Amino acid sequence: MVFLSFLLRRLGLSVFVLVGVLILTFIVSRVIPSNPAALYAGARPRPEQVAEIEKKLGLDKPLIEQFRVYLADLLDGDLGESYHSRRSINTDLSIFLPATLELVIAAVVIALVLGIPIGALAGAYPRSPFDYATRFVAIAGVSLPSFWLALIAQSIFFSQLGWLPLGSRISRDATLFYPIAAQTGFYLIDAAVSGNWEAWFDALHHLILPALVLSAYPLGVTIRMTQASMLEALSETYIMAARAAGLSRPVILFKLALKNAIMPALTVVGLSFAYSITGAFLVEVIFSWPGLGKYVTEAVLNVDFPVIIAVTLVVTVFYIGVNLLVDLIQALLDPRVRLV
Amino acid sequence: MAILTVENLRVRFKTPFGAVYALRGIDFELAKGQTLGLVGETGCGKSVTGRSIMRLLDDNAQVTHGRIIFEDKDLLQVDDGEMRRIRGNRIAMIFQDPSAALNPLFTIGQQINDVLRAHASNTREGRQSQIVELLASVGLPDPAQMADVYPHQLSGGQQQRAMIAQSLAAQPDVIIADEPTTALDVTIQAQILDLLRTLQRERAISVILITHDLGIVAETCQHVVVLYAGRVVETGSVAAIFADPQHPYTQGLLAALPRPGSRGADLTVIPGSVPSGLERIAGCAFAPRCEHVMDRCRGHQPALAEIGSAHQSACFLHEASGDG
Amino acid sequence: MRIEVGSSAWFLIRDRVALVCMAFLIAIAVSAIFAPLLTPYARQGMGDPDLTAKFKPPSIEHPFGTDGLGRDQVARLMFGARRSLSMGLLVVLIAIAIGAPLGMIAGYLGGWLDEAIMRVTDVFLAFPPLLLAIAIAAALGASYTNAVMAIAVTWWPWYARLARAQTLSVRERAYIEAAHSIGVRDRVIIGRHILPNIMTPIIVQGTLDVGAAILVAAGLSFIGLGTQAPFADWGVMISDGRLFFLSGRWWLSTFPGLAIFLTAMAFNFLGDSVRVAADPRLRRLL
Repeated sequence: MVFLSFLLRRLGLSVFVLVGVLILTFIVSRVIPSNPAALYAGARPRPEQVAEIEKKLGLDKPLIEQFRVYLADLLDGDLGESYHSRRSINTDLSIFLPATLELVIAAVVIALVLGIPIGALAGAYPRSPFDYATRFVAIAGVSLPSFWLALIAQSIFFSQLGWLPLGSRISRDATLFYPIAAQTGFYLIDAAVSGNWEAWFDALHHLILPALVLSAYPLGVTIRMTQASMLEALSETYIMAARAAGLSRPVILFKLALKNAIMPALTVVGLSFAYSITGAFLVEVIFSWPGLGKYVTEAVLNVDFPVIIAVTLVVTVFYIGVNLLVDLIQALLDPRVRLV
Repeated sequence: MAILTVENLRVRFKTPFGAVYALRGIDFELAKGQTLGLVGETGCGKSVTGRSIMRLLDDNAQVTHGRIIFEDKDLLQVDDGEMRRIRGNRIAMIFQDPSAALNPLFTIGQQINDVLRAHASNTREGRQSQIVELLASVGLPDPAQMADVYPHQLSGGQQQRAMIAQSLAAQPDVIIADEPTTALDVTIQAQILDLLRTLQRERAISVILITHDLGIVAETCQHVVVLYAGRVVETGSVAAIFADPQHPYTQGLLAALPRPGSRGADLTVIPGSVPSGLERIAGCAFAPRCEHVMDRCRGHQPALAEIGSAHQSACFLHEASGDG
Repeated sequence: MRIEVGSSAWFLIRDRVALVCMAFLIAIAVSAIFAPLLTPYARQGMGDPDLTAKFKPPSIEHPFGTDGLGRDQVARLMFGARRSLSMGLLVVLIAIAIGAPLGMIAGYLGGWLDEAIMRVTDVFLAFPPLLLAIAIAAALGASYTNAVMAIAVTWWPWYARLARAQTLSVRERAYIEAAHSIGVRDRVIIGRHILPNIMTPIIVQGTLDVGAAILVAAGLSFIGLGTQAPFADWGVMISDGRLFFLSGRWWLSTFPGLAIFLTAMAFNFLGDSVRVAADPRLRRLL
C-alpha cells in the first residue's frame, strides 16, 4: 500500500516534470532568442529563408498557439528537421542515440562497478592510507576536464602504447568484412545476437577508451557518495548494537553496514548517467564517436538550433526515466517503503 | 561473589577544545545474580562506564587508568578477538532507543540469527527453533511469525522486547541495559522492566541498569551506584540508600522523585548543572550546587567512606557529624 | 556559537591540504589580476599574433611554448585565467543570487509559493547538467557573458533547495517567531535573521561548486559557446590545440588542461575542507 501510493506519487511527479521540461524547452527555443527564425535558419541565413521559416514555424502566431503546435508535433513523435542538413532529426537520432547510449551505459557500469566497492572500503576504514588515496582519486576524477583527459588518453594508449584505437565505433576492416546486422543500434548487442564475434571484439576495443574517459567524473562522484553513506551507516546505533552483540568485523562492515549504505548510494546511478551524458557531449568529437555529442557539437558550430533542442529534449526524457527507475528500485529494496 | 569488578576507571575524550575527563576514578562491584543501578544525571558518565566495559568507546576516547575484572580477566587487557567473543556471548547490551538499535533492513529473525551464528555452533534448523523460543520468552505474540518481521512493523515496546531477545541469544552472564525504557511510553516501561526482572530471576543473569530515574532503580535493583561528574558519590543497597541517603546529591535526586500523593509543586530540582568535564576540578565536583557546601569542599576531594553496612558515601559532612 | 565559529577556523588552518589549495588559488588569482604587469607578452595574451614565432616548443623564453599564431602560452594562460576563473566565480555568485532568495521565500512563507518554486527547481534539475546550458547559450548566442548566464540559469535550483532546507530549520527558532509575533515585516526577518543563519552552508556549497562551474564553463568554451576569439580561456586553448596534440605539438593543450585540472582540484579540496570544518558532526566522523 505504501509502495503503491509512493509509485503513484512518483509517477505523477515525473509526468509533471516532463510537462515542465516541454515548457522550458519551448521557452528556450521560442521566447529567449530575439529572432527565433534567424536562429532556426542556421548560420548566415538569407532573408527569404528567414521569412519562410517564420511562416513554417508559425512565429507570427501568438505564443500559446505556437506552443500548441510545438506540443502536437512532439506528441506525433516529430522532432522536426535539421536546418543544416535538411534531414529529419528523427532519422538522425535513430542512428546517434544508440551510439551514445552504448557509450554512456558502458561508462556508468565502469563507474558503479569500480566506485561502489572502492567507496565502501574507504568508508569502512576511515583515516587509513587507502581512504586518503581514494579521496585523492575521487577528487581528481571530478576535477579532470573530460575533453582534455580524452586527448591525454589518446596520446598514451594510441600514440605511445598502441594498445587501443584512436577513435570511432568500429574499424573499417570490420565494417567491410564483418558487417554488423543493425537491429538495436547497440553494436555490442547486435554483434552478439548474430554471433559476429570478430565485430564484437572490434567494437569493444573501440569502446574501452572513450568509456573509461567518460567514467572518470561519475566514478569520482560514486566513490565519494558511497564512502559518505558508508561512514554514515557505520555511525548508526544499530552498528554499535551489532558490535555489542559480538558480531565479527567483516559481518558488520560488508553485510550490515554495506546494505544500509547501498540504499542512498543508489542515487548515484542517475547522477552517473547524467555526468556520462555530459561528458559524451564534450568527448565524442575527440573520439570521432558518431553519437549525440558529436551531432550536437556540430549543430552548435552550424547554429543548427532545432537539432540542439531536439537532443536536449530526448536526452532529458531518458534521464527522467532513469531517475524514475532508480527511485522505484530503491523503494522496492527498502522494507520500510515496500511493506506497510 | 562479584562477577564484574570495576577499579579506578578513568576515561578521557580528546576534543578540539581540549581533553574532557568523563570518568575520574570509578569503583564498583557487580555481584552474581544481582541487578545494579548506575544512576546520575545526563553527562555524569553512566553510559561511558557501560561502553568502557564493552570496550565500545569512540575512537577519541582513551582509558587512562583502571581495571575491569570479569572472571579473573582484565577486559581492558584481553585481545580484540577475545573481546569479540565476550561481547554478546558473556556480556550483552540493551540500548535506549530500540528503533535505532535494530537494523531497519533486516528482519528480527535475521538479526538474532547473526548473533547465534557469531557465538554458537548450531545448524540452521537449530537456530531457527532457538529464535522462536527466544521471541516467545520475551513475550512477543506469534513468535514464529515475528522472526520474519522488519523492525518498523513493530511497536516501540515490541522492538525493545526483540532487542532483549537478541541480547539473550547467546545466554550471557551479564546484561548492560543503557536506559532501556527511556524512549518508551510509561505503561510500556513497566512491562519491559517486569520482563527484565523475570528474565534476570529465571536465568540468574547479572544486570547493570543504567538510568537517570531513581524510581526505576527502586523497583528493579538491589544495589545502587550514584555517579556525579565521573565519580561515585554514593553506593549501597537500595534499601539503605532510599531509607537513608547520605550524599547531598543523592538527597537531591530523591527529593526530585515524584511520590504518590505529591504534587508537581512539591518536587524540588537541584539547581545548576553537571560540570562539562573540560575543567579540572580541585575539590568536590558537587560543591557549586550543594546547599551544605563548606570551605574545604572547594579545595579537597572527599573520598568514598564506609558509613554503614554496605553503604558508602563521598562527602565531608559525614566526618563532621562523626566528630560531633 | 562563538566557540563553534572559532573552532571551524582553527580546524581549517590546521588542515595543511586546505592551506596548500588556498595558496595555489591565490597565486593563480594574482597572476590573472596582474597579468599585464607580470608578462612581457601582454599584447599576445590579449590576442595579438606574432607570426615569426609560430608553434615554438617550450623553451626558456617561452616556458609553455607558443601557439599557431606565435603567441606566448604563459601569457595566454594568465589572461585565460581571468576568464576561466571569473566564469566559475560569476556562475556561482549569480546562481546564489537567484537561488538563495527564492529558497528563503519558499521556506519562510511556505504554502503555494513554496510548492511552485520547488516544482520549478524540479523541472530545471530534470535536465542533465551542461545540456540545458548548451541550449540556452545557443539561444542567446555564443559569447562569454551568455555562457555565464546560461550556466547560472541551470545552477540556481541547487541553491534554492539548499536555502529552503536551511530556512525551514531556522524558521522555528524562538527569536524568529518572536520577531514575527511583534509584527516585524517578513522582508526584514528574512534579510536580518534568516539570511545570516543560512550563509555558512551556502558558502560551503559555493566553494565546492566553483571548481565544477569552471569545468562546465570550460566545456561550453570548448564546443565554441563561451569566450570568443581573439580572447581565450583555458577551454578555448585546449580546443585550439587539440588538432595538433597527437602530431607532436603537445604543449598547446597540455598546459591549459593542467591549469583547469589543478584549479578545479584546489577548489574541490578546499571545499571539502571547509565542509568538514563547518560541520562538527563530520569532524567527528572523519
